[in-house]
Amino acid sequence: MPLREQFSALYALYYKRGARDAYFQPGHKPVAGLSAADMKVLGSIDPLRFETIVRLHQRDIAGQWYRAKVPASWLALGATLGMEDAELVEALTGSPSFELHVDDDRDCAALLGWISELAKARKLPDARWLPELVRYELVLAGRWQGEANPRVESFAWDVESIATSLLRDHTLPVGERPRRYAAVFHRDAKGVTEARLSTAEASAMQAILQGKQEGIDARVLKRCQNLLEEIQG
Amino acid sequence: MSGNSPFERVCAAPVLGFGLGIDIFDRRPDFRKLVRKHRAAFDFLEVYSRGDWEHTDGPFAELPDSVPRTYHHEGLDPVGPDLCPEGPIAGCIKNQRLLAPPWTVEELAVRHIDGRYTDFFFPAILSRESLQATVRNLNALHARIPGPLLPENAPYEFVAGDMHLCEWLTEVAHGAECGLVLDLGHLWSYQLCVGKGDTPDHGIAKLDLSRVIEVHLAGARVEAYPGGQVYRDLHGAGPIPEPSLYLLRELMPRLPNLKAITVEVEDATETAAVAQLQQVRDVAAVVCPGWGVSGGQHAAS
Repeated sequence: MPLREQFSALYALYYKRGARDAYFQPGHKPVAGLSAADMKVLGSIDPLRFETIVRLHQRDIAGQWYRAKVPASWLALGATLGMEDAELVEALTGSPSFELHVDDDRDCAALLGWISELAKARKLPDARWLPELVRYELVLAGRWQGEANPRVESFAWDVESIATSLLRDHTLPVGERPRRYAAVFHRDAKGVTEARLSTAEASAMQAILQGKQEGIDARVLKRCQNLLEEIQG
Repeated sequence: MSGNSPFERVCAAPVLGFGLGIDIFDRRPDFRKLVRKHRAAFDFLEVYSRGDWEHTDGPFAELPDSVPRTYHHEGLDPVGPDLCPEGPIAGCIKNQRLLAPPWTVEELAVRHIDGRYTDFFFPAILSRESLQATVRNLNALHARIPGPLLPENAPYEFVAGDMHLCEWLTEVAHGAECGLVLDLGHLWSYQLCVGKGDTPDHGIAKLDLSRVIEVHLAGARVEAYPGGQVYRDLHGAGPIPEPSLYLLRELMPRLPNLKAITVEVEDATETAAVAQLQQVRDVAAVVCPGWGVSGGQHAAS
């Protein structure tokens, strides 16, 4: 149906640099799937205006989709690839993984897919921790599956230190090695609170949250109970 | 008309007066605080659920029955090539049942294109073909959804198609036998796209003003670029642009079926939300004194 194709073409013009460059060349190169009549409908779009609003939306996607949700990960991507927000968004929206997004990429499926694409292309040699950092920041943003709350999460990298380095010290960690990070997270109306756990505490906390306290060392049990009280305010 | 068309049903509804458009999930403004501390400042609330129709039961239950309300849905995508999926329709039916509004507002835009979500409301393509699809979709939706829908002109940042927005809206309203929400900022956003930003009511003669049941105003930011200006909705996070207030002054006396004026205030503090509504009340009081007073009649009717 032509109307469907017109909307699809608009989508491509918005999010795909290649389609935009081809379409807005003098003489309007054909866009795949569009008839001459469809092209006439879209021909009323002013290229300069369109380019302007694409830039505005790139700013929105950077700010509202990612900086708000996974700020350290977004900073790390920009620093590693040497790209500003607009370039980052253009590269992400142009990637096949962008089509994985649901709503405002609420679970960062598109971002994680793109990171995986970049990793395969060996473009993130010093940031192998990025997928775990995204996952950590999603938890901090309260975006976790299921109702379990509080919950224990473990990460293969010390994502808390990496996030601190990026957000507080504005430093991109280089030469990191895998180092486990575990924490208990609690979500309420004010946000998410976390407390770091040792390996033994993480196992114990998991058991406590499942109502299985038998056999837990008394000191570890007490410490876990205190932490739970702390994060639940 | 059919005798019980969506338009006739909304015309039969009482005048609601001046209301605040709020997001039921927002903490700023918090509708609970608005109700508790500022109840005298607004006549009704227009309740928006951000397209998340599945998690509305709790917040809706906190809205006292004594507060008149309209409902602003999202996701029906009436201007798309086909009827939307079942989920948004079921969600709309559910939320109408919970809120019992006199009508439900839905943007004349699409959010999903071939199943892919866009980061903003893609407004209608202004063509005959899109007009026919929109009328078909609205009629199909009206056959499914118990309460009448009130489609709203969406914000434009660029325009595709060769019809004038006002002509397109009139034909949608007549074809689907429905009323309209006229968002004044969105109307100006269209004018900015077609080089008529200095005359916000350009072409208004093409709009059947008797179809306008509700008017929206909201805060906005205007981004300048070498070729013109782009309107960007901010709702409560910005001032209401003067062209929107100009349109209110010019058009309000010519809207015989106006039932509601809503100021959309998402992201405003409760105090700022109430102040914006008062600003609009003051403008309206000059051009249509007495309108919206409980049980009062429209000055132009």
